[in-house]
Amino acid sequence: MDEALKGRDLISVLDLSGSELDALFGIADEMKKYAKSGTDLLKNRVLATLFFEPSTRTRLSFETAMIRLGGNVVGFADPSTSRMTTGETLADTIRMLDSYSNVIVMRHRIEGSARLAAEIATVPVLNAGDGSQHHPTQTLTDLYLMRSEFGHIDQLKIAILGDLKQTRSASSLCFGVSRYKGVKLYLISPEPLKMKQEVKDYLEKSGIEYIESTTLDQYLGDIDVLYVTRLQKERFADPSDYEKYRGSYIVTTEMLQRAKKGMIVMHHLPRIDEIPLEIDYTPNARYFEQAANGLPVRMALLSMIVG
Amino acid sequence: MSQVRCFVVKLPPDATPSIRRALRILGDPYSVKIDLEREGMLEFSSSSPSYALLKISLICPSAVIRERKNGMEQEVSDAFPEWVEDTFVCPSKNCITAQPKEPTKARFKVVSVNPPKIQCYYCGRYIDQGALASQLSQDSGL
Repeated sequence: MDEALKGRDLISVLDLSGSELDALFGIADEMKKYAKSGTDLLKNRVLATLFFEPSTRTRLSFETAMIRLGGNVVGFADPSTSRMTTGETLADTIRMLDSYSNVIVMRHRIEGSARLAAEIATVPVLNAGDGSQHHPTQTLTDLYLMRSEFGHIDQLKIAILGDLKQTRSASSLCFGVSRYKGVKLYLISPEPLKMKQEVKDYLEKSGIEYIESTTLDQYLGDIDVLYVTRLQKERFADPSDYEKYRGSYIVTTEMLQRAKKGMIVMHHLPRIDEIPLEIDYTPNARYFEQAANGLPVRMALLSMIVG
Repeated sequence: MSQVRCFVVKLPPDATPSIRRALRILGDPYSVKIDLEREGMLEFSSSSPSYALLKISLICPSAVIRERKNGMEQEVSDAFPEWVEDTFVCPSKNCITAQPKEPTKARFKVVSVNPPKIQCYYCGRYIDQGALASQLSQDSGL
């Protein structure tokens, strides 16, 4: 087992180098063998999951990953069942979980909360999403699927579509592809939901070429990956803005007929109405495989960090 | 012991109170002492001035800073620190540093001195000159 990640926090996907990503994906390939049968690699180890925001795939795949690796899980999926409701600070909660567990996975709406947790905890902290900023394990899952589909990530042309301003999976993916050569990004969104300047500056600094547009059509013949995001309803200050932009982009079978041969459609899920059900039956749909890959990828991550 | 160095700062007329305030906030840990101040001009001395020089440049990029050495004024060649702490706060209400009960200390990476731009270590948001100036002008205590 590669020991380079042992004991480390994962707050941003940028905490991992390109070679560390390659190593992790190699181990994820191996972990597929144990995704149903399990191993005892992390026997007697405890994962603490602190989900202050709702989650289905991230939390359940982390918990399943730990169980399949022979470990145990404690924690909560509903913060109203914790002492946070009585005003206990995040810092104090982390201090407690630090003493009970071998690794902490947390999701919080407040940006920087995972970084604070990592400063306090002595055990590794894995960020399962903080605000609209980072979601490193989603990006690992996304990159792993692209690698599996195309055999490489270098040189891919990737369109990210939707609410780029508030979707952490979108900004995190931008950070993740910066570890690869020759990737070109097409950032497609309504004008007010454009990618944050901080992320675009990082892309420029990293030499990643990108195009911004409000329309996708003219790029359909070029792109290898169409990464669709949902509007982040919970992050709109004004609900009428959500209604205004809802349905701005809907993937259609007609669009897929005009797309480059072999283009795949990805989505971090859950979807609202941006990918209708009929797309599920097209050869382009990959979002369920993408979500399923969350298990071997998180098994690989836990085994490298805690094992 | 580090040598105490003297600096002369020429400022646009309306910038003096902000710069004076920023230097006072720096306080003893940075060994900054204001020696003379008047409209459009400020002199200070310090044994470790790089942080004060950065702060002045962030708040007022048009300030002309020169070092007084042996009675002569010369250009300043100090490298700016990469990070800035204290004084500024992240304006994002959704940043962990805005949560009053959590034990964080605001910390910013210096992205650019001219134009002034710093980036919150915790939430990654930019804070530009307008926000920096606004924070200083909101404090009427100085």
